[in-house]
Order: sequence, then structure tokens, then C-alpha cells
Amino acid sequence: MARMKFICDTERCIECNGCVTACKNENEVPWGVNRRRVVTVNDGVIGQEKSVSVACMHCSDAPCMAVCPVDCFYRTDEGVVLHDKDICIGCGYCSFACPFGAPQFLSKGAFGVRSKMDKCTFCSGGPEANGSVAEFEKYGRNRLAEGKLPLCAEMCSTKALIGGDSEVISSIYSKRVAVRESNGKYAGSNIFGWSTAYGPSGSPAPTPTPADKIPGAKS
Amino acid sequence: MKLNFKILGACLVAGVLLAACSEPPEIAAKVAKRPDVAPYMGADNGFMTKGWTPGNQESWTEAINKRNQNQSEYSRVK
Amino acid sequence: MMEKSGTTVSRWVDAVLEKNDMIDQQTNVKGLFFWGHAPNSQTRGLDMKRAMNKLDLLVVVDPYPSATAAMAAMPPAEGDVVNKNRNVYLLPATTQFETSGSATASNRSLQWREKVIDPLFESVPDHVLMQAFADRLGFGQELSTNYKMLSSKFAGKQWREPQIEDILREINRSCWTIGYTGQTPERLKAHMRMVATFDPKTLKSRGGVDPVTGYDTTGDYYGLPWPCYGTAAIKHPGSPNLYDTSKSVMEGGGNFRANFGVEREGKSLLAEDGSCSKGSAITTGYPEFDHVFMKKLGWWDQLTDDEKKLAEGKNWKTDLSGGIQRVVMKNGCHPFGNAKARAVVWNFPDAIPIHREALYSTNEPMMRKYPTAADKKNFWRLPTLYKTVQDKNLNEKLYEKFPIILTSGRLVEYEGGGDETRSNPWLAELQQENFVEINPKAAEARGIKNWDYVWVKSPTGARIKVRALVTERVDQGTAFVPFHFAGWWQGTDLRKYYPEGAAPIVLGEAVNTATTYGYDMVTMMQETKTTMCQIEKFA
Repeated sequence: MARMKFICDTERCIECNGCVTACKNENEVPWGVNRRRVVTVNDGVIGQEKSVSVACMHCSDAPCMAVCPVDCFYRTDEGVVLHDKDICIGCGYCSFACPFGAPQFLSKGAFGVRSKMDKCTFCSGGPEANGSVAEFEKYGRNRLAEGKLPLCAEMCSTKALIGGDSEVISSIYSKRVAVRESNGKYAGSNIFGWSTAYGPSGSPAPTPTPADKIPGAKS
Repeated sequence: MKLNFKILGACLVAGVLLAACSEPPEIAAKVAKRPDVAPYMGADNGFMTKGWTPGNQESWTEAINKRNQNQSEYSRVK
Repeated sequence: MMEKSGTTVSRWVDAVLEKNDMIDQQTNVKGLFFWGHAPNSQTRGLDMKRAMNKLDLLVVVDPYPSATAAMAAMPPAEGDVVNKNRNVYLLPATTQFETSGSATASNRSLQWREKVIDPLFESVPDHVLMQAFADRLGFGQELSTNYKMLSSKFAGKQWREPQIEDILREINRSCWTIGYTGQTPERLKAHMRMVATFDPKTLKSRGGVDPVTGYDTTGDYYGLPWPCYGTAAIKHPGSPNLYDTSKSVMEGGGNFRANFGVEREGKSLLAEDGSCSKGSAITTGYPEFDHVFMKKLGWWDQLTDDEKKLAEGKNWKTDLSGGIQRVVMKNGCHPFGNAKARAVVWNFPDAIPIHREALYSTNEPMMRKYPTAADKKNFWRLPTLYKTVQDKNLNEKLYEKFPIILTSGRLVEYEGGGDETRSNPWLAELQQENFVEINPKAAEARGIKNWDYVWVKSPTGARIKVRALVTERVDQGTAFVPFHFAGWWQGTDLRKYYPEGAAPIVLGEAVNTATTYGYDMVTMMQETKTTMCQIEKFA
């Protein structure tokens, strides 16, 4: 059984936003909702600027699913986390719970009333007939049912973003890392860029800020 | 008779209170998640790729994994 | 009129506005076609608006009416008037998806584009519009004398349409010098059908026969990158890399062209030391080929009788049979000769490039040490200033009033003038406002915080209102503004001047409203990458 995941190679992401545009176009996502976003750190600092493309991580233990008060989420056999918009009440709990900002809402009405939640579906639609008009209007394209993979990964201009079964994409990624290593380049093997954000392995652990530097802290 | 009324009343009240613990079947059916159709069943919209059999999970998995290799340039560059 | 170099697009404004006795043609320019072109990609926007006001005729041919429509429609600047006789026309053209034809990429490969949808609204393909104009102006027959003509329906009417394959065939018959002759519609269409057989790294076909026509792609490079010499019959594979002596000419190899004669000041300009392309019959340098040279070498009789008829008295550039090219390459030689690369360009103002500081440089010592060139009285039909402008900068100390270098450039999300891409909702959402990249220290000195509105002012007197993007991407003395925006004019929104419902989603200031005078000494290319500005917080 497949376990669908994304990997974004921070050594190759050039912040072209092709993945963002592909997703928007393929799923006709409305203005204000961004299922996929490119995040750039150290912008403008030579040698240190890195970008990564983030959408839903389709977590094994999804916090959105855990907190939903109407239990509208489910996990498919392929490991994709989806939800039912007919049940969703737009409460926003899933958005608060998700560390990646995947669940999104349009602010539709007065008093900040939200629309139904919308997020990346790994291009596999939702609980409507595969490829039907109803499925497209609510959830976007169902590419998996058409024998394809998410368009963001298929369209990535540098193949930084790859998506598919975790075994397959891990092997693609490790082969790439091995080639980089054999060329004497920085391999970038920490997939989610931990070493890019927090320093390479062997970096000293972060030390807590002393209490006297924190206004109002008690020592 | 008075005793009966009291017990009957208590039972009625308890029954009503307990009834709120589970939804009536019509409402339950509406809010239950609709079962989703697996991707290997195919999509009847004219955009399916060729080379696999809708309904056959193995052939879908094989086709998807083969297509996945397009995301690695090493498969096309010799 | 036809024999001298024309006015460049970078100076059309001066061809309209300049005093008549200063321009090298009888009358000033009075009518202009903006055919698939955006006004905000030319410098000196204030002058452009004055020129647009003065025209008798302005025609915009574009799928998107573009900023030209709004810029023409907006009221003139104070003290200026719009020519009462001016007529402005907007003609809707089809996009690439609504018509077919060949397209050339910057790697020199050609591809054949198929039509994807029928033309929307009342749009008409460019080649049909051109034919219609030519017909009405009296030379329609001459324009399409080599084409099959179709009668096609566009915008509810019948139009005369040149068959688009024939247009490429005419190019194939005439462009011998750059090798645009081998890329026939048939070969290109076969390549498109067989795209999977081409290796993405080398561009070479791995071998395969097109099932539709039986064309064998073996040996071809994808898209037959020009030069692809000779007729399609000799099946030149295209040239993936220029001047590659490791390959023979019929494998896409080459050498440097003998374009400047065979000797100069007693020294040979031809190749020496045995440098030649692989398998060449002549291993020393040699001049370009013509019928005389062919006869001297004894190769003339390798031409067929039909080829000889057309090649007699001609050279490799004018022989319409392609026979000279065919025979020369059969012998492993290059039709354009084999010479040394020219590093000293004796007919340029600077034979070897020397540094000349920009007219609007912010660096005074550099301007004094590396001054610009002398003014030109008549250059591409117009007087063109250099020293006068730089002297003004120095004398008026403009570099103190405008101490930040202003450069302009691209964004990934938008293309060119931007009207088409700013009308795309997905792209528009990614870049919603125009901005100036300003260094944190420069921003701090001006009391500017990230995303404040600021005025970017230039020596032309123009000022544009943009957001401040405070970033380390630029140093303290530099600022960057993207050029894709249009639709705001010095702080005013021009949305109401666009045709109803046709304005792009995102509008913004055009950086070129504020850019300045400055042109290359040889090509008249405009200076868009180096001018000066001052940035102030918008009050």
C-alpha cells in the first residue's frame, strides 16, 4: 500500500513559485487560499538563502484530524489526509492545530465568519465520485484517480519538489544526494532542512535564554 | 396509582434525557463521512492515463510508481 | 529612406518629438503601431506620454489592450495638449494558443506550436491582420506571392489567411546565412511528435522514425537549432553548440566565420595552426565559398545540373538551390569560411571595450576617470547625446541629489510589460504591488519601514509611488524596481482609462516612467539598468 509524501530539496528550490501556480490553476483555488506556499529564509544573504515549498504534510498522526470537533477528516489507504466539506463547520480548530498552516479559510462574512476549510489534497480530491464535477468544484482535481501524481511535484522546474510513494521518492532523493556527495558538493541530506535552519549536525544544542534577559521572567 | 405516576414520570424524564445521548438515525446518516472511492478505481472523466486497469490496485500502484520516475532526471539522461 | 538604418524602438519617442531639421528623414514619425509591444518597457515615460499625445495615428495590436491604451487615454501633463487629429485603435490579436506556427527559443531550437483553442472574442491572428493591412495598402499580392491563401473565418467575417506553413517555407528559401533553411514545417512537426526520443541533456535524437510521415529523426538535434544549413533534403541535424570543431559540419560542428575579409594590415584573418572542423577537406583557414572558389577547388562538377543553373555567379548566401552549401559540407568544409575569432573590432568606436561610466552615474570620481563618449549628431537617424548629459550630471551635481543607483529588472511571476501576466489571477496574487528594494541602512536613514509607501524620484522630474521592500538583497547605494507594472502614473490610478473590463487585476507604477536618457554607442540599446534616484517616505 502506498504512503504518499512530498520531499522538497532545499538545495534545488529556486523560489520560482511554479508549484504554487500549478496548484492554483489545477484546482482553481480562490484568491486568498494558498494550498501551497514557498517559504524563503535568509532572503538576500549570499550563500545562506534557502527556499522550501510547503503544503499539507499528510501527517501520519495528523493534528488537524485529532482536534476536529465534527470529525470530518479521514486518511485514505494511500496515506493522504482528506476531509469532508459537507460536514466541516469552519470552526478553524484544524488551522490552529496544524504547525504548517495547511488548513485555510476564506473570510466570507461578517464577524470573521469562515468558509469551509480548504487544503492540499495531494491532488486526490475528496469524498465525491472520482473525477466528477462535484468533486472538482469542492476539492479540485483528482489526479491520483487519473493515474497521475500531484501537479506541483510533476511541474517543479528544478525537481526540488518531488511527490509520490515515500519509498519511491526517498530512493530518488538519496540517489541525488549520493551524486552530489560524489561531486564534492554539499549534499543537503537533511530532508526537511533542519540543518539549514538550525545548523549542521554537530552544532551545539541551543542554550536557553537566561532569565535576566527575559522581561518579567522569574529566575 | 400515585406511586405509578411518579415512577412513570421519572422513567419518561430519564428516557427523554437518555435519548439525547445518541442521534436519531436520519441525522446520523447525514453527518457520517461519505465513504470515499479509492484512486485505483479510476476517474470516469476522459483524463485517465493509459497503461493500467481501473479497479486493479496493483496495476495502479505500478503505473504511479513508474510515472514517479519522471521526477528524477537521472531516468531520462543517459 | 529604405536604404539606411531605421529608428530603433528605444528612440521612437524622439522621432516624433525631435525638431524636424535634426532628424535624418523628411518628416517626423506621425503614426505608430504597437504590435505585441508594451510602452512601459521603454525608458523616459514622461517623454513617451508627450509623444503619444502628438501622434496622428496610434494602433495597438495585442490580446491585451495593454498599458498603451490607458497611457494614450489619460489626460496630458500640465502645459501639454493632445493632438486633435489623433486616432487610437485597439485591434484584438490572438494569443499563441489560438493559432499555430513555428517559434524559436533562445537556445536556437525551433518548435512547431499547434492551435489549442479557437480564437476567443473577436481576436484575429497576427499574420491575417498583416495580410489585411497589406491588401488595403495595395501590396497584398506581393506580400503573399509565395503563399497558398486560405479563406478563414475570424470575428464573424471571412479573411484572407496566408497558410502559415508557407511562411516558414519562404524563410527556409531565403535565410541561407543564418542557416534557417533546414527547419521545414515537416521536419519540425515530426520532431514535435517524436519529442520523447530526444535526450534532454545533449538534445540529440536516440533514433526513431515518425509513424505519421516516416521521417527518421536519427542524428537530428531537437528543434534543428539554427544554423541548420542547406535544404531539408540534405538533412543537416542543426547546431547544438556554435563553432564546435570537435564535430564535422554535417554533425552540427563548425568554426569561426570569415566575415571580415581574408587579411587586414598585412595579417591573415583566416584560421591558422591547423584549426578547422573535424573531417574538413581543407585544414588551413579558408574564405567564404562562392562559385569562383568552388571552380578553383574543382568541386563545381559535384553540383547537379539543376543546382549549377541557380548557383552560377552566386555565393553560398545567394545560391537558391543550396547546392554550394551541400557540396561544401559534403567535403567537410563550412560554407561561411574558416577564420580567426575577431577580438579587436576595428569598426566599433571602442575597438576593445573600455570602461565608460554611465551618464547618470552616482560615482563622480569614476565619471571623471572614465568619461563617456562624444555626442553623435546623426545616429540611427537621430541626434544622440552622451557627453552633454554626463556633463550636466557633473555640473549640477545630480549625483548628490539622487545618490542611489536605480536598476530595473525582472520578477519570476510576470513577463515584459506585464499586462498579460498581471491579468492572470494565480500570478497576480503572488505579486500584488510594485515595490523598490532598499537596503536596511538606506531605509533607516530615511525613516522608511518595510512596506511603507515611498516616492522614487529621478532627475527627469518624475516620481513613482511604490512599496518599500527593505532587504539585504541590495547594498546601501543601490535600489531595484521591477519593470513589469503599469497602470499607475506618478501616484494616480489609471484603471478608469483602460477599456471597460479589460484592465489587469494588478496595476502599479511603471519604473520606466522615471528612467532616464542613455543609449549604447553601437546598438542604440536603452539604458535601463543604471540610472539614479532618491527615495523618500510617502507623506
